[in-house]
Amino acid sequence: MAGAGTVNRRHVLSLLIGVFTAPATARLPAPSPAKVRRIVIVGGWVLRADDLEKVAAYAA
Amino acid sequence: MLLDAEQRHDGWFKEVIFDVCICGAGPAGITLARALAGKGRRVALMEAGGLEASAQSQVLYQGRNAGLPYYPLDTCRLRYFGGTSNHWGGYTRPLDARDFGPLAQHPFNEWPIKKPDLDPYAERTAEILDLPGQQPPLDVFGGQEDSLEPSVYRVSPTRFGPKYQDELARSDRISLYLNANLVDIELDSSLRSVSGLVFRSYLRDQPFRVRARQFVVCCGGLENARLLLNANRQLPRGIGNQHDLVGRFFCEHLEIDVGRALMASPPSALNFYIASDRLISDRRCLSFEVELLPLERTEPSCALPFPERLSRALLEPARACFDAVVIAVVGQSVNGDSRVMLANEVDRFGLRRLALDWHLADIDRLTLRIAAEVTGRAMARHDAGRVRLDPWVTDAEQEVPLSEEAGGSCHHMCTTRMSHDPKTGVVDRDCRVHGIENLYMGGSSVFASPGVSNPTFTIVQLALRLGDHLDARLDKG
Repeated sequence: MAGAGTVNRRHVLSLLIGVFTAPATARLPAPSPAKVRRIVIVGGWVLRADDLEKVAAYAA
Repeated sequence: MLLDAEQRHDGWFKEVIFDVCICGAGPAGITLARALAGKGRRVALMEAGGLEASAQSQVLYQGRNAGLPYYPLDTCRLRYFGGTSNHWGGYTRPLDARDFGPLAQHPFNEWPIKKPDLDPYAERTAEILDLPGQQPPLDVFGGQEDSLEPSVYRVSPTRFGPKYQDELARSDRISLYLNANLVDIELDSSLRSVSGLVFRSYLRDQPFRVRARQFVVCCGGLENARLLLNANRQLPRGIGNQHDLVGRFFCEHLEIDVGRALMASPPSALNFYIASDRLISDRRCLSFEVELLPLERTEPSCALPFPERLSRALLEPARACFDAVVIAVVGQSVNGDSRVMLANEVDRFGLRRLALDWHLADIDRLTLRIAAEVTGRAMARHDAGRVRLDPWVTDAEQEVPLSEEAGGSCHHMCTTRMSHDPKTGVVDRDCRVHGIENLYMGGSSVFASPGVSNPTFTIVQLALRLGDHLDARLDKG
Protein backbone atom coordinates (compact mmCIF):
# COMPACT_ATOMS: atom_id res chain seq x y z
CA MET A 1 0.00 0.00 0.00
CA ALA A 2 2.69 2.45 0.94
CA GLY A 3 4.00 4.44 -1.95
CA ALA A 4 0.95 3.87 -4.17
CA GLY A 5 1.13 6.84 -6.48
CA THR A 6 -1.60 6.23 -9.02
CA VAL A 7 -4.31 4.71 -6.95
CA ASN A 8 -6.00 1.55 -7.96
CA ARG A 9 -8.69 1.36 -5.33
CA ARG A 10 -9.63 -2.18 -6.08
CA HIS A 11 -6.03 -3.27 -5.67
CA VAL A 12 -5.60 -1.36 -2.43
CA LEU A 13 -8.78 -2.78 -1.04
CA SER A 14 -7.80 -6.28 -1.95
CA LEU A 15 -4.55 -5.81 -0.11
CA LEU A 16 -6.24 -4.41 2.96
CA ILE A 17 -9.11 -6.81 3.10
CA GLY A 18 -7.03 -9.78 2.15
CA VAL A 19 -5.08 -9.43 5.34
CA PHE A 20 -8.16 -10.07 7.41
CA THR A 21 -10.11 -12.25 5.01
CA ALA A 22 -13.03 -9.88 5.35
CA PRO A 23 -15.74 -10.11 2.72
CA ALA A 24 -15.00 -7.84 -0.24
CA THR A 25 -18.37 -6.27 -0.31
CA ALA A 26 -19.63 -2.75 0.21
CA ARG A 27 -22.49 -3.92 2.39
CA LEU A 28 -20.73 -4.90 5.56
CA PRO A 29 -22.25 -5.76 8.91
CA ALA A 30 -21.55 -3.53 11.90
CA PRO A 31 -18.10 -4.30 13.30
CA SER A 32 -17.95 -6.53 16.32
CA PRO A 33 -16.54 -5.13 19.58
CA ALA A 34 -13.63 -7.52 19.21
CA LYS A 35 -12.69 -5.98 15.88
CA VAL A 36 -12.94 -2.48 17.31
CA ARG A 37 -10.57 -3.44 20.08
CA ARG A 38 -8.17 -5.39 17.92
CA ILE A 39 -5.25 -3.27 16.74
CA VAL A 40 -3.40 -4.24 13.61
CA ILE A 41 -0.46 -2.85 11.71
CA VAL A 42 -1.00 -2.90 7.97
CA GLY A 43 1.27 -1.23 5.49
CA GLY A 44 2.74 0.86 8.27
CA TRP A 45 -0.66 2.05 9.52
CA VAL A 46 -1.67 1.26 13.09
CA LEU A 47 -5.40 0.61 12.74
CA ARG A 48 -8.43 -0.83 14.40
CA ALA A 49 -9.51 -3.97 12.65
CA ASP A 50 -12.86 -2.42 11.78
CA ASP A 51 -11.15 0.50 10.01
CA LEU A 52 -10.66 -1.76 7.01
CA GLU A 53 -14.35 -2.49 6.76
CA LYS A 54 -15.10 1.22 6.93
CA VAL A 55 -12.63 1.84 4.15
CA ALA A 56 -14.26 -0.81 2.04
CA ALA A 57 -17.64 0.76 2.62
CA TYR A 58 -16.31 4.19 1.79
CA ALA A 59 -14.67 3.01 -1.40
CA ALA A 60 -17.86 1.35 -2.52
CA MET B 1 34.01 42.99 37.21
CA LEU B 2 34.32 42.50 33.47
CA LEU B 3 37.79 42.20 32.00
CA ASP B 4 39.26 41.30 28.62
CA ALA B 5 42.23 38.93 28.60
CA GLU B 6 43.52 40.67 25.48
CA GLN B 7 44.06 43.81 27.58
CA ARG B 8 45.81 42.10 30.48
CA HIS B 9 49.06 43.30 31.97
CA ASP B 10 51.71 41.36 33.83
CA GLY B 11 50.40 42.14 37.27
CA TRP B 12 46.90 40.87 36.73
CA PHE B 13 47.18 37.39 38.15
CA LYS B 14 50.54 37.27 39.91
CA GLU B 15 49.38 38.03 43.44
CA VAL B 16 45.85 36.75 43.25
CA ILE B 17 44.62 33.41 44.49
CA PHE B 18 40.91 33.11 43.89
CA ASP B 19 38.68 30.93 46.01
CA VAL B 20 37.36 29.28 42.88
CA CYS B 21 38.35 29.49 39.22
CA ILE B 22 35.52 28.51 36.90
CA CYS B 23 36.27 27.86 33.26
CA GLY B 24 33.29 28.43 30.97
CA ALA B 25 30.56 31.07 31.27
CA GLY B 26 27.49 29.17 30.13
CA PRO B 27 24.50 28.17 32.27
CA ALA B 28 26.59 25.99 34.60
CA GLY B 29 29.52 28.38 35.00
CA ILE B 30 27.44 31.52 35.44
CA THR B 31 25.09 29.83 37.91
CA LEU B 32 28.00 28.48 39.95
CA ALA B 33 29.83 31.83 39.95
CA ARG B 34 26.73 33.67 41.16
CA ALA B 35 26.06 31.05 43.84
CA LEU B 36 29.60 31.28 45.19
CA ALA B 37 29.71 35.06 45.03
CA GLY B 38 26.47 35.09 47.00
CA LYS B 39 28.33 33.24 49.74
CA GLY B 40 31.11 35.81 49.72
CA ARG B 41 33.59 33.77 47.70
CA ARG B 42 36.02 35.37 45.29
CA VAL B 43 35.57 33.86 41.84
CA ALA B 44 37.42 34.01 38.53
CA LEU B 45 35.00 33.21 35.71
CA MET B 46 36.95 32.51 32.53
CA GLU B 47 35.15 32.74 29.19
CA ALA B 48 36.87 31.64 25.98
CA GLY B 49 34.78 33.86 23.73
CA GLY B 50 33.70 37.46 23.89
CA LEU B 51 30.34 39.03 24.61
CA GLU B 52 29.19 38.24 21.08
CA ALA B 53 29.72 35.32 18.74
CA SER B 54 32.92 35.45 16.70
CA ALA B 55 34.51 33.25 14.07
CA GLN B 56 37.87 33.21 15.87
CA SER B 57 36.27 31.53 18.86
CA GLN B 58 33.61 29.40 17.19
CA VAL B 59 36.10 27.76 14.81
CA LEU B 60 37.75 26.15 17.84
CA TYR B 61 34.67 23.95 18.20
CA GLN B 62 35.28 22.29 14.85
CA GLY B 63 35.82 18.57 15.07
CA ARG B 64 35.28 15.32 13.28
CA ASN B 65 32.38 12.89 13.44
CA ALA B 66 33.90 9.43 13.40
CA GLY B 67 30.83 7.40 14.31
CA LEU B 68 27.17 7.69 13.43
CA PRO B 69 26.11 10.69 11.34
CA TYR B 70 25.78 13.74 13.57
CA TYR B 71 25.54 17.50 13.40
CA PRO B 72 28.75 19.40 12.60
CA LEU B 73 30.34 19.86 16.01
CA ASP B 74 30.74 23.62 15.65
CA THR B 75 27.06 24.24 14.94
CA CYS B 76 25.24 22.73 17.88
CA ARG B 77 27.11 24.64 20.58
CA LEU B 78 28.16 28.26 20.97
CA ARG B 79 31.51 29.47 22.21
CA TYR B 80 30.90 32.89 23.74
CA PHE B 81 29.55 34.49 26.89
CA GLY B 82 26.34 32.71 27.87
CA GLY B 83 27.42 29.59 26.00
CA THR B 84 24.90 27.43 24.24
CA SER B 85 22.03 29.12 26.10
CA ASN B 86 22.42 31.72 23.35
CA HIS B 87 20.47 29.51 20.96
CA TRP B 88 18.60 26.95 23.02
CA GLY B 89 14.88 26.43 22.59
CA GLY B 90 14.05 26.83 26.26
CA TYR B 91 12.00 23.66 26.83
CA THR B 92 12.77 22.78 30.41
CA ARG B 93 11.87 20.06 32.88
CA PRO B 94 13.64 18.34 35.78
CA LEU B 95 14.59 14.71 35.61
CA ASP B 96 12.05 12.25 36.96
CA ALA B 97 12.91 10.04 39.94
CA ARG B 98 13.20 6.97 37.76
CA ASP B 99 15.78 8.69 35.53
CA PHE B 100 18.30 8.27 38.34
CA GLY B 101 18.05 4.50 37.98
CA PRO B 102 18.88 1.73 38.24
CA LEU B 103 16.73 0.32 35.48
CA ALA B 104 16.47 -3.47 35.62
CA GLN B 105 17.23 -3.89 31.92
CA HIS B 106 20.00 -1.28 32.00
CA PRO B 107 21.38 -1.02 35.57
CA PHE B 108 24.42 0.97 34.43
CA ASN B 109 22.17 4.01 34.08
CA GLU B 110 22.26 4.54 37.87
CA TRP B 111 23.33 7.86 39.34
CA PRO B 112 25.16 8.03 42.70
CA ILE B 113 22.72 10.78 43.68
CA LYS B 114 18.95 10.67 43.52
CA LYS B 115 16.20 13.12 42.81
CA PRO B 116 15.89 14.22 46.49
CA ASP B 117 19.52 15.41 46.28
CA LEU B 118 18.55 17.90 43.57
CA ASP B 119 15.00 18.78 44.62
CA PRO B 120 16.12 21.45 47.14
CA TYR B 121 17.49 23.42 44.17
CA ALA B 122 14.42 23.19 41.97
CA GLU B 123 12.80 26.43 43.08
CA ARG B 124 15.96 28.51 42.63
CA THR B 125 16.54 26.84 39.27
CA ALA B 126 13.06 27.85 38.12
CA GLU B 127 13.83 31.45 39.13
CA ILE B 128 17.17 31.45 37.34
CA LEU B 129 15.55 30.10 34.19
CA ASP B 130 12.59 32.53 34.43
CA LEU B 131 10.21 29.61 34.17
CA PRO B 132 6.52 30.38 33.93
CA GLY B 133 4.00 28.56 36.10
CA GLN B 134 3.26 24.97 35.34
CA GLN B 135 0.38 24.47 32.90
CA PRO B 136 -1.72 21.30 32.91
CA PRO B 137 -0.55 18.90 30.22
CA LEU B 138 -2.48 18.39 27.01
CA ASP B 139 -3.84 14.91 26.53
CA VAL B 140 -5.47 13.59 23.37
CA PHE B 141 -6.28 10.38 25.24
CA GLY B 142 -8.46 12.08 27.82
CA GLY B 143 -6.61 10.52 30.75
CA GLN B 144 -7.55 7.01 29.61
CA GLU B 145 -4.22 5.72 28.32
CA ASP B 146 -2.15 3.61 30.73
CA SER B 147 1.04 3.26 28.74
CA LEU B 148 1.60 6.96 27.99
CA GLU B 149 1.32 9.64 30.65
CA PRO B 150 0.77 13.25 29.58
CA SER B 151 3.68 15.45 30.43
CA VAL B 152 4.58 19.10 30.12
CA TYR B 153 7.59 21.31 29.61
CA ARG B 154 7.91 24.86 30.80
CA VAL B 155 9.34 27.08 28.10
CA SER B 156 11.64 30.02 28.68
CA PRO B 157 14.74 30.31 26.52
CA THR B 158 16.72 32.34 29.01
CA ARG B 159 19.90 33.77 27.52
CA PHE B 160 22.36 33.65 30.39
CA GLY B 161 24.74 36.18 28.85
CA PRO B 162 22.36 39.11 28.37
CA LYS B 163 20.47 38.27 31.55
CA TYR B 164 23.47 38.24 33.87
CA GLN B 165 26.03 40.47 32.13
CA ASP B 166 25.27 43.61 34.15
CA GLU B 167 25.15 41.73 37.44
CA LEU B 168 28.51 40.08 36.78
CA ALA B 169 30.08 43.35 35.62
CA ARG B 170 28.95 45.06 38.83
CA SER B 171 30.02 42.23 41.11
CA ASP B 172 32.98 42.88 43.40
CA ARG B 173 33.27 39.11 43.99
CA ILE B 174 33.29 37.82 40.44
CA SER B 175 36.02 38.66 37.94
CA LEU B 176 34.74 37.72 34.49
CA TYR B 177 37.56 37.41 31.97
CA LEU B 178 36.67 37.29 28.28
CA ASN B 179 38.80 35.80 25.49
CA ALA B 180 40.49 33.44 27.96
CA ASN B 181 41.01 30.02 26.37
CA LEU B 182 41.93 27.15 28.67
CA VAL B 183 45.01 25.46 27.19
CA ASP B 184 46.36 23.44 30.11
CA ILE B 185 45.55 22.19 33.58
CA GLU B 186 48.68 22.20 35.73
CA LEU B 187 49.07 19.75 38.58
CA ASP B 188 51.40 20.12 41.54
CA SER B 189 54.23 17.67 42.15
CA SER B 190 51.91 15.15 43.81
CA LEU B 191 49.86 14.97 40.59
CA ARG B 192 46.80 14.92 42.82
CA SER B 193 46.01 18.61 43.00
CA VAL B 194 45.60 21.38 40.44
CA SER B 195 48.00 24.27 40.96
CA GLY B 196 46.66 26.48 38.22
CA LEU B 197 44.84 26.76 34.93
CA VAL B 198 46.74 28.06 31.92
CA PHE B 199 44.99 30.34 29.42
CA ARG B 200 45.74 32.08 26.18
CA SER B 201 43.96 34.89 24.42
CA TYR B 202 43.72 35.20 20.66
CA LEU B 203 46.03 38.10 19.91
CA ARG B 204 48.85 37.48 22.38
CA ASP B 205 51.05 34.42 22.34
CA GLN B 206 52.10 34.52 25.97
CA PRO B 207 49.99 32.22 28.17
CA PHE B 208 48.86 33.27 31.62
CA ARG B 209 48.02 31.31 34.75
CA VAL B 210 45.16 31.64 37.15
CA ARG B 211 45.55 30.26 40.64
CA ALA B 212 42.75 29.30 42.94
CA ARG B 213 41.94 26.95 45.79
CA GLN B 214 39.33 25.07 43.78
CA PHE B 215 38.87 24.71 40.02
CA VAL B 216 35.78 23.88 37.99
CA VAL B 217 35.58 23.17 34.26
CA CYS B 218 32.15 24.01 32.83
CA CYS B 219 32.82 24.06 29.10
CA GLY B 220 30.08 21.76 27.85
CA GLY B 221 29.45 18.08 27.43
CA LEU B 222 31.95 17.59 24.63
CA GLU B 223 34.58 20.14 25.54
CA ASN B 224 34.93 19.10 29.18
CA ALA B 225 36.22 15.71 28.08
CA ARG B 226 38.39 17.18 25.33
CA LEU B 227 40.10 19.53 27.79
CA LEU B 228 40.84 16.75 30.28
CA LEU B 229 42.23 14.53 27.52
CA ASN B 230 44.38 17.36 26.17
CA ALA B 231 45.80 18.06 29.64
CA ASN B 232 48.33 15.27 29.12
CA ARG B 233 51.64 17.00 29.73
CA GLN B 234 52.04 15.55 33.25
CA LEU B 235 49.68 12.60 33.00
CA PRO B 236 50.08 11.11 29.51
CA ARG B 237 46.53 9.75 29.33
CA GLY B 238 45.04 13.05 30.45
CA ILE B 239 43.70 14.18 33.78
CA GLY B 240 41.11 11.94 35.45
CA ASN B 241 41.67 9.32 32.78
CA GLN B 242 43.47 6.63 34.79
CA HIS B 243 40.75 4.13 33.80
CA ASP B 244 40.35 5.30 30.19
CA LEU B 245 36.90 6.70 30.93
CA VAL B 246 37.22 10.39 30.05
CA GLY B 247 35.10 10.93 26.97
CA ARG B 248 33.43 7.53 27.12
CA PHE B 249 29.68 7.08 27.55
CA PHE B 250 28.79 10.00 25.29
CA CYS B 251 24.99 10.12 25.28
CA GLU B 252 22.43 12.04 23.30
CA HIS B 253 18.69 12.41 23.39
CA LEU B 254 17.58 10.71 20.21
CA GLU B 255 14.78 12.82 18.80
CA ILE B 256 13.42 11.16 15.72
CA ASP B 257 10.30 11.29 13.59
CA VAL B 258 8.63 7.91 13.81
CA GLY B 259 5.37 8.56 11.97
CA ARG B 260 2.50 10.83 11.03
CA ALA B 261 -0.81 11.04 12.85
CA LEU B 262 -4.19 11.68 11.39
CA MET B 263 -6.29 12.76 14.34
CA ALA B 264 -9.91 13.05 15.33
CA SER B 265 -9.22 16.40 17.00
CA PRO B 266 -6.08 17.95 15.56
CA PRO B 267 -3.76 19.21 18.31
CA SER B 268 -3.39 22.95 18.70
CA ALA B 269 0.02 22.77 20.36
CA LEU B 270 2.93 20.44 20.96
CA ASN B 271 1.82 17.48 23.13
CA PHE B 272 4.21 15.50 25.33
CA TYR B 273 3.83 12.04 26.81
CA ILE B 274 6.21 9.87 28.77
CA ALA B 275 6.22 6.10 28.98
CA SER B 276 4.66 4.64 32.11
CA ASP B 277 6.79 2.66 34.55
CA ARG B 278 4.77 -0.43 33.80
CA LEU B 279 5.31 -0.16 30.07
CA ILE B 280 9.05 0.25 30.51
CA SER B 281 9.12 -2.79 32.78
CA ASP B 282 6.89 -4.94 30.59
CA ARG B 283 8.66 -4.12 27.34
CA ARG B 284 12.14 -4.04 28.90
CA CYS B 285 13.00 -0.82 27.14
CA LEU B 286 14.43 2.55 28.19
CA SER B 287 12.25 5.41 29.31
CA PHE B 288 11.04 7.56 26.44
CA GLU B 289 8.97 10.54 25.53
CA VAL B 290 6.58 11.00 22.64
CA GLU B 291 5.81 14.36 21.11
CA LEU B 292 2.90 15.21 18.84
CA LEU B 293 3.97 18.15 16.73
CA PRO B 294 1.04 19.84 14.95
CA LEU B 295 1.33 20.15 11.20
CA GLU B 296 0.03 22.95 9.08
CA ARG B 297 -2.93 21.51 7.18
CA THR B 298 -3.47 23.11 3.80
CA GLU B 299 -5.13 20.46 1.60
CA PRO B 300 -8.88 21.04 1.05
CA SER B 301 -9.50 17.48 2.10
CA CYS B 302 -8.20 18.32 5.55
CA ALA B 303 -11.54 19.88 6.35
CA LEU B 304 -13.36 16.57 5.97
CA PRO B 305 -14.51 14.62 9.03
CA PHE B 306 -11.97 12.28 10.56
CA PRO B 307 -13.53 8.97 9.38
CA GLU B 308 -13.63 10.19 5.79
CA ARG B 309 -10.12 11.58 5.95
CA LEU B 310 -8.89 8.26 7.29
CA SER B 311 -10.58 6.30 4.55
CA ARG B 312 -9.17 8.62 1.91
CA ALA B 313 -5.72 8.39 3.45
CA LEU B 314 -5.79 4.62 3.38
CA LEU B 315 -6.95 4.58 -0.20
CA GLU B 316 -4.73 7.38 -1.45
CA PRO B 317 -1.74 7.55 0.89
CA ALA B 318 0.07 10.09 -1.24
CA ARG B 319 -2.72 12.62 -0.60
CA ALA B 320 -3.24 11.87 3.07
CA CYS B 321 -3.86 14.88 5.26
CA PHE B 322 -1.94 14.38 8.48
CA ASP B 323 -2.38 16.50 11.58
CA ALA B 324 0.80 15.85 13.51
CA VAL B 325 4.28 14.43 13.36
CA VAL B 326 4.94 11.73 15.95
CA ILE B 327 8.39 12.20 17.44
CA ALA B 328 10.06 9.73 19.78
CA VAL B 329 12.65 11.00 22.28
CA VAL B 330 14.94 8.50 23.93
CA GLY B 331 17.83 9.17 26.28
CA GLN B 332 20.20 6.58 24.92
CA SER B 333 21.74 3.85 27.04
CA VAL B 334 25.14 4.40 28.65
CA ASN B 335 27.55 2.76 26.27
CA GLY B 336 31.34 2.79 26.58
CA ASP B 337 31.84 2.51 22.83
CA SER B 338 30.14 5.87 22.31
CA ARG B 339 32.84 8.36 23.08
CA VAL B 340 34.66 11.62 22.64
CA MET B 341 38.24 11.21 21.51
CA LEU B 342 41.05 13.43 20.31
CA ALA B 343 41.66 13.83 16.59
CA ASN B 344 45.15 14.20 15.21
CA GLU B 345 44.51 17.73 13.96
CA VAL B 346 45.32 20.56 16.37
CA ASP B 347 43.73 23.95 16.85
CA ARG B 348 45.51 27.32 16.92
CA PHE B 349 46.54 26.74 20.54
CA GLY B 350 48.04 23.33 19.82
CA LEU B 351 45.19 21.38 21.43
CA ARG B 352 44.03 18.30 19.55
CA ARG B 353 40.59 18.72 18.09
CA LEU B 354 37.54 16.70 18.95
CA ALA B 355 36.58 13.41 17.34
CA LEU B 356 33.14 12.15 18.24
CA ASP B 357 32.60 8.42 17.84
CA TRP B 358 28.87 8.17 18.47
CA HIS B 359 27.23 4.77 18.76
CA LEU B 360 23.83 3.38 19.67
CA ALA B 361 22.96 0.08 21.29
CA ASP B 362 20.18 -2.31 20.38
CA ILE B 363 18.06 -1.19 23.33
CA ASP B 364 18.13 2.38 21.98
CA ARG B 365 16.76 1.27 18.61
CA LEU B 366 14.25 -1.02 20.26
CA THR B 367 12.96 1.78 22.46
CA LEU B 368 12.42 4.10 19.50
CA ARG B 369 10.37 1.43 17.75
CA ILE B 370 8.37 0.66 20.88
CA ALA B 371 7.62 4.36 21.35
CA ALA B 372 6.25 4.53 17.81
CA GLU B 373 4.18 1.39 18.08
CA VAL B 374 2.75 2.22 21.50
CA THR B 375 1.69 5.65 20.31
CA GLY B 376 -0.01 4.19 17.27
CA ARG B 377 -1.85 1.63 19.34
CA ALA B 378 -2.96 4.21 21.90
CA MET B 379 -4.28 6.47 19.15
CA ALA B 380 -6.30 3.67 17.64
CA ARG B 381 -7.48 2.21 20.95
CA HIS B 382 -8.96 5.54 22.06
CA ASP B 383 -10.01 6.53 18.56
CA ALA B 384 -7.95 9.68 19.01
CA GLY B 385 -6.41 9.20 15.59
CA ARG B 386 -4.39 6.80 13.48
CA VAL B 387 -0.67 6.72 12.98
CA ARG B 388 1.22 5.79 9.85
CA LEU B 389 4.62 4.61 11.00
CA ASP B 390 7.71 5.58 9.05
CA PRO B 391 9.06 2.63 7.03
CA TRP B 392 12.18 2.11 9.16
CA VAL B 393 10.08 1.61 12.28
CA THR B 394 8.53 -1.62 11.05
CA ASP B 395 11.59 -2.88 9.21
CA ALA B 396 14.16 -4.11 11.68
CA GLU B 397 16.74 -4.31 8.92
CA GLN B 398 16.69 -0.55 8.45
CA GLU B 399 18.93 1.65 10.61
CA VAL B 400 17.53 4.52 12.64
CA PRO B 401 17.59 7.56 10.32
CA LEU B 402 20.38 9.78 11.58
CA SER B 403 21.97 12.55 9.57
CA GLU B 404 23.97 15.76 9.85
CA GLU B 405 20.67 17.59 10.21
CA ALA B 406 18.50 15.40 12.41
CA GLY B 407 18.46 12.61 14.94
CA GLY B 408 20.03 14.12 18.03
CA SER B 409 19.06 17.01 20.26
CA CYS B 410 22.47 18.68 20.66
CA HIS B 411 22.42 17.44 24.24
CA HIS B 412 25.93 16.22 25.02
CA MET B 413 26.00 14.17 28.16
CA CYS B 414 27.88 11.66 30.34
CA THR B 415 31.43 12.16 28.97
CA THR B 416 32.78 12.69 32.50
CA ARG B 417 30.02 10.70 34.12
CA MET B 418 29.34 10.65 37.83
CA SER B 419 29.96 7.44 39.75
CA HIS B 420 30.99 6.30 43.21
CA ASP B 421 33.56 4.05 41.55
CA PRO B 422 36.52 5.49 39.62
CA LYS B 423 36.29 2.41 37.41
CA THR B 424 32.85 3.39 36.15
CA GLY B 425 32.97 7.17 36.21
CA VAL B 426 35.22 10.21 36.06
CA VAL B 427 33.72 12.34 38.83
CA ASP B 428 32.28 11.46 42.21
CA ARG B 429 28.84 12.36 43.56
CA ASP B 430 30.08 15.89 44.27
CA CYS B 431 31.34 16.34 40.69
CA ARG B 432 34.97 16.13 41.80
CA VAL B 433 37.35 14.37 39.43
CA HIS B 434 38.38 11.06 40.98
CA GLY B 435 42.00 11.23 42.07
CA ILE B 436 42.30 15.04 41.93
CA GLU B 437 41.59 16.91 45.16
CA ASN B 438 40.46 20.26 43.84
CA LEU B 439 39.21 19.78 40.28
CA TYR B 440 35.49 19.63 39.53
CA MET B 441 33.39 19.33 36.39
CA GLY B 442 30.15 21.20 35.80
CA GLY B 443 27.42 20.72 33.22
CA SER B 444 25.84 17.75 31.51
CA SER B 445 29.13 15.88 31.12
CA VAL B 446 28.67 14.70 34.72
CA PHE B 447 25.28 13.12 34.09
CA ALA B 448 25.50 9.43 34.95
CA SER B 449 22.82 8.76 32.35
CA PRO B 450 20.71 11.06 30.23
CA GLY B 451 17.14 10.45 31.35
CA VAL B 452 14.48 11.83 29.05
CA SER B 453 14.13 15.46 30.10
CA ASN B 454 16.09 18.21 28.41
CA PRO B 455 19.27 18.77 30.41
CA THR B 456 19.36 22.48 31.27
CA PHE B 457 17.21 22.30 34.41
CA THR B 458 19.42 19.55 35.82
CA ILE B 459 22.59 21.40 34.79
CA VAL B 460 21.52 24.42 36.83
CA GLN B 461 20.45 22.29 39.80
CA LEU B 462 23.82 20.54 39.80
CA ALA B 463 25.65 23.88 39.61
CA LEU B 464 23.78 25.19 42.64
CA ARG B 465 24.50 21.98 44.53
CA LEU B 466 28.18 22.22 43.58
CA GLY B 467 28.19 25.78 44.88
CA ASP B 468 27.06 24.56 48.30
CA HIS B 469 29.66 21.80 48.26
CA LEU B 470 32.53 24.10 47.31
CA ASP B 471 31.52 26.67 49.89
CA ALA B 472 31.60 23.99 52.58
CA ARG B 473 34.97 22.74 51.37
CA LEU B 474 36.43 26.24 51.37
CA ASP B 475 35.22 26.65 54.96
CA LYS B 476 37.22 23.60 55.93
CA GLY B 477 40.34 25.21 54.55
